[in-house]
Amino acid sequence: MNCLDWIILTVIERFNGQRTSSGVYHLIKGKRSAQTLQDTHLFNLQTIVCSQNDLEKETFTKILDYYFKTDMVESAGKNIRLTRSGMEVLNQLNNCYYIPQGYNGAMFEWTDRAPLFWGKLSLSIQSITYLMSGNRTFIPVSYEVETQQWVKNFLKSVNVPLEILCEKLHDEIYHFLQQLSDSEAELIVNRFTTPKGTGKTFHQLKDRFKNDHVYTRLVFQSLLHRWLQNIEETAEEDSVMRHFLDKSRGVDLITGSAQHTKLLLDEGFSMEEIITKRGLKRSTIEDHLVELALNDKNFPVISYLSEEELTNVLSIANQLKTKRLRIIKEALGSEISYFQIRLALTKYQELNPNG
Amino acid sequence: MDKLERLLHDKIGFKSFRTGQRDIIQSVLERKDVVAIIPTGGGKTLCYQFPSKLIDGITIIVSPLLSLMEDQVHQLRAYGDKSAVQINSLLSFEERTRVLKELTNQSMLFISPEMLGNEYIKKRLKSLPVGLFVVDEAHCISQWGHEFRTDYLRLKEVRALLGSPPCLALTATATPQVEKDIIMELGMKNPTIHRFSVNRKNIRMNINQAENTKEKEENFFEFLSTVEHPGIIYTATRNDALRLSEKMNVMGFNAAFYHGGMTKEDRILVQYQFLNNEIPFICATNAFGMGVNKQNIRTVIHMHLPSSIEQYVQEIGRAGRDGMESIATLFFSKEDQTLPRRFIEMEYPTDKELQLWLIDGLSFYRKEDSIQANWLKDFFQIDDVRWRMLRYYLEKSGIIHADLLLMNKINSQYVNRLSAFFMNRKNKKELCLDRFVKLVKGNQCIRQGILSYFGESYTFEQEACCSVCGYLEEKWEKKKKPIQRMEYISWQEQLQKMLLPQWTER
Ligand SMILES: Nc1ncnc2c1ncn2[C@@H]1O[C@H](COP(=O)(O)OP(=O)(O)OP(=O)(O)O)[C@@H](O)[C@H]1O
Ligand SMILES: [Mg+2]
Ligand SMILES: [Zn+2]
Repeated sequence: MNCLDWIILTVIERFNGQRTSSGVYHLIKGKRSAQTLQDTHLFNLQTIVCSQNDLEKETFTKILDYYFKTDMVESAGKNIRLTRSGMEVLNQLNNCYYIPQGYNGAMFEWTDRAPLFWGKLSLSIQSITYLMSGNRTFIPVSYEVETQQWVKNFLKSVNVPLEILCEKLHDEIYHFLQQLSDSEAELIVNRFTTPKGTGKTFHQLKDRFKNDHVYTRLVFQSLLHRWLQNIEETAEEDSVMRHFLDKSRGVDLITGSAQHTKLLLDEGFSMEEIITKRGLKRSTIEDHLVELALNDKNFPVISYLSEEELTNVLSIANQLKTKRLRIIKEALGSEISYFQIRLALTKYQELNPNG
Repeated sequence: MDKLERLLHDKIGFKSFRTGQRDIIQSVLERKDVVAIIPTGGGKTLCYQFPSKLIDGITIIVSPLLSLMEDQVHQLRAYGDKSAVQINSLLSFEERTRVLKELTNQSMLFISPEMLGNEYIKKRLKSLPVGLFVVDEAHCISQWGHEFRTDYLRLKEVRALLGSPPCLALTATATPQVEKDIIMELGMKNPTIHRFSVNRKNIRMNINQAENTKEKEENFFEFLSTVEHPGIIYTATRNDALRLSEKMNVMGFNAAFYHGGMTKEDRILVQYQFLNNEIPFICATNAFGMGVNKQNIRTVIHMHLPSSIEQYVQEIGRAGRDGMESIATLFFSKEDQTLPRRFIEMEYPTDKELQLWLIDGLSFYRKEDSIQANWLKDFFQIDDVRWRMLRYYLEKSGIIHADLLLMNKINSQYVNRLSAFFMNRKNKKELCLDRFVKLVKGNQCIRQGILSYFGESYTFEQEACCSVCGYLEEKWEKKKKPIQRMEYISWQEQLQKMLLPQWTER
């Protein structure tokens, strides 16, 4: 059992038999869908969401097969939940692993901010140091064409000699790293690729982090999250590091398509009008509205269902201790739609802070 | 220096051609259809890279393995050839569109076979002048080659659609039969065939038989302390690659691992460390085979049985690409045969299973027009490997369309055909493995065995040949370089060395 097990079991436990194993996978993988978004908020998984964005479905399936075989999890209808022995394993893992300080999956991984930041920073460092050493041919550590293009433009646009740029980078990186422990600072430095050496993989760096490459990666990500926060809050106007921040992407968990819906709503179009205007399915637009409601406390949920329906849904959910739509709908037995229930549930956290 | 050589120097920077390259390139420039068989490391890339700069129209290169294609394109670009671009399933729709838009007459477009089934891409390519149609690793076309061969079967059709540009097929490992398959499947007319010996004289072949797995591993570690690095060690599974590399590290041999399940970033880093001689050994699955190009690999070791002679030849062909003496050693124990046989067995559904899934299982839904395709997988708990295989063929025959399984298209006749097809594939694979096992266990010269498999004869002119002819240990000068241990330096110092080298070295 390792850090990956800890993360998977934690999510299963939080879902409490109310979601399928695919739901678990999508959550830690960070699938950009309204459903995953809603699960994140409903089950309070903002920290951990998208933390395993490099996990292959095949690997995940194998792990779950193993849990079933060893009776750590069991089926609850279509859903899964922990068994008592699964719970025991999780308790043991809880003694070993914890979320590193500053880690926030929803804010930095789901939005791609940390991966983009690292992609640009590490390729810039590689390019600059190779150029400095007089070496013009090297294989970029990032295969992303977009990142390569960005770095090229960046190097053209900073109007200072390379040596000065290096010095500035050195000083700013040093400034951040000295706030960390030595092993954390080493973790970052060892990931860079320069003519002096290629970056190390998490497997190669796991010695000082519980000998677990997934945990090592988690720590690394947390350092990026802290770094981003730090730059945003304290970096000077003329800081080089500011260049690596992403201005274009939204800060919140809104998918691109939902953004368009939001614009139209803000312009005063009704839901029906948006459906026709965008030529999309009703269910898609409904997903967008739920997504918007989750991200905006002031979203006018009340325009789509009555005050009474809202309270009914929330009290039933509370009473039955469930967030499963079908069960709530059956219990209410009225004409209320799934869409309305989902909208109502976006208010669940807010009104039941302990729920 | 003649005219072509001068051009070679101007365009690519090489001083002269290697064996075969000039003839092949000349045939290509004469717009003939060409089959070129040159050994591993012989320089096949140049045979299309160079002509692409001289002929009118874009050069399309079909390449079988995704990661191979990515590496190749990025390496070409890194070394200054920005005309290399790629289209494959790893790119987003927007990126593909951009690549297609920016193609020029000089472009080398690498594309995966399944992308050539895409209507949009076909339409776009059709509107472009295509000067040369290249199929790299063309042995994959043959029925003896690649599994998802159906993707390759459309190459002929695509080529016709593009106005039948001249075609160049390249491989290191083609038996005469495979050569025929290539010509037929690509619809080549009167092709010019340039065949060169598959033999790699500078690679010595060594087979080490052990009683059991434990003894095999002991032999391996004993051997390891006598060999030169850089070296690749091939293992059967991803897990084996990981575990062996960890064990090697414990024993003081610095090793990393490489397999297809790693993230792209880790794959790039490990490859880069190896290319830069920062790690002496890499434990890998066959994902690190075909096409991998590092000049100075001295040692290739197999800790498992490759599935065919072709695969073995491809993998040992990573060694000695600089022309220097190298050694390939296969460690083998009796138990090793079970695993590859089980792999073959596990890959295909049996007759019984096909009957149960497609006939009995679906009879519940006789009244429906269609059902969700994944129902089959979920209901019968079909494992990923076989489901992918089955689904692939059901999609190809139009039975699965847009994730729906169309009920009226399934009948017992179809199921019988499918099982016969799978049975045939299975038998062929077993035959390939058998031939390799025979080579390993026999007391015939290994080089001769390989050459005769590819239809060549061997005259035993080589002094250092193989472990059957006499391994000639004493002739193997021990040039073993010590493995350098990294000394510990603080992050502060490391950061300074990275970014302020002028300060440190003063
Ligand atoms: N004419 C030449 N002069 C100098 N170097 C060359 C020449 N032709 C090829 N090379 C070099 O030889 C190496 C091997 O070439 P390449 O990768 O094309 O081999 P290949 O035939 O495709 O091998 P494989 O079958 O393993 O894919 C490369 O590093 C390439 O740069
Ligand atoms: Mg090649
Ligand atoms: Zn021999």
